[in-house]
Amino acid sequence: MIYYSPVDGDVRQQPVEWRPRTAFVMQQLGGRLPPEVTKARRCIDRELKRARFETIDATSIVSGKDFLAKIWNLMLGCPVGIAIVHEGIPDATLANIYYELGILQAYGRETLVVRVGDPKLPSDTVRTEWIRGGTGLAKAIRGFLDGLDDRGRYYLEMSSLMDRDPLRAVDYLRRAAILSGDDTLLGEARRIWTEAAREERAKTSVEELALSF
Amino acid sequence: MSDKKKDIVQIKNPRTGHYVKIDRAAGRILDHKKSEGPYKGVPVARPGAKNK
Repeated sequence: MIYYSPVDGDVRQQPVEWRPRTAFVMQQLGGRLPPEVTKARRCIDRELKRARFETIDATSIVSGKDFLAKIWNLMLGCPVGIAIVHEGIPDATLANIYYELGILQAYGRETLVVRVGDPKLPSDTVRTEWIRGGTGLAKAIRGFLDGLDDRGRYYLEMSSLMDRDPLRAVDYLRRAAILSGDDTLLGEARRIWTEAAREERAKTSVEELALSF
Repeated sequence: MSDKKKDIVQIKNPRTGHYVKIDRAAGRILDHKKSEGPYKGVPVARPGAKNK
């Protein structure tokens, strides 16, 4: 997959630093947080740990470089994104959260919105999975995280079914690998790539489609 | 059954809960089912069976 730098618009030259079994949590980090948001975050962290996912957020790495580039590097490597929204979030922070959520969805990551209180969601997130904070949050998060195993298996199966389109097959395989944390799938990706004979590729393969502008 | 037909299978997308029809020979998704249940007459891909 080609990624474009948010800084200069050119194609990113460096590979994505993959972070298998991680979840990128998007929320207001500075300022005064309502206690129910702090409680929701603690619950999310606890359930992620139980499901063997590591929590990552914007404060996880101090790079000293461009902040937007740092967020991108962190986010792109994570298979899961969880946004925590509540009524008291400043508009600019909320816009950042939805911007990051959109990026993650566009790049095929698994996303979830946790609504603490009763914040109004933008209409563009109508198809986004969401759950309520408060009572029942732990159970709902657990349900979401348990379902990710099924998605990983689906991506693995899709990779197998798409072997006439090697780029797509490898992309599905990578999604399965970063969700499951199974690094042996990298070997399978290399095999698909090596065995993919150019003349046998589907007319609708990613490479062929790339030549149709 | 023709070779072409044998290459078309379906698999359930766990995110939507709906089946997806795939043409293996073309390596592409043909259709996403909008309603519940599988497509009639289309084999369901067996998980982990390599589906060759």
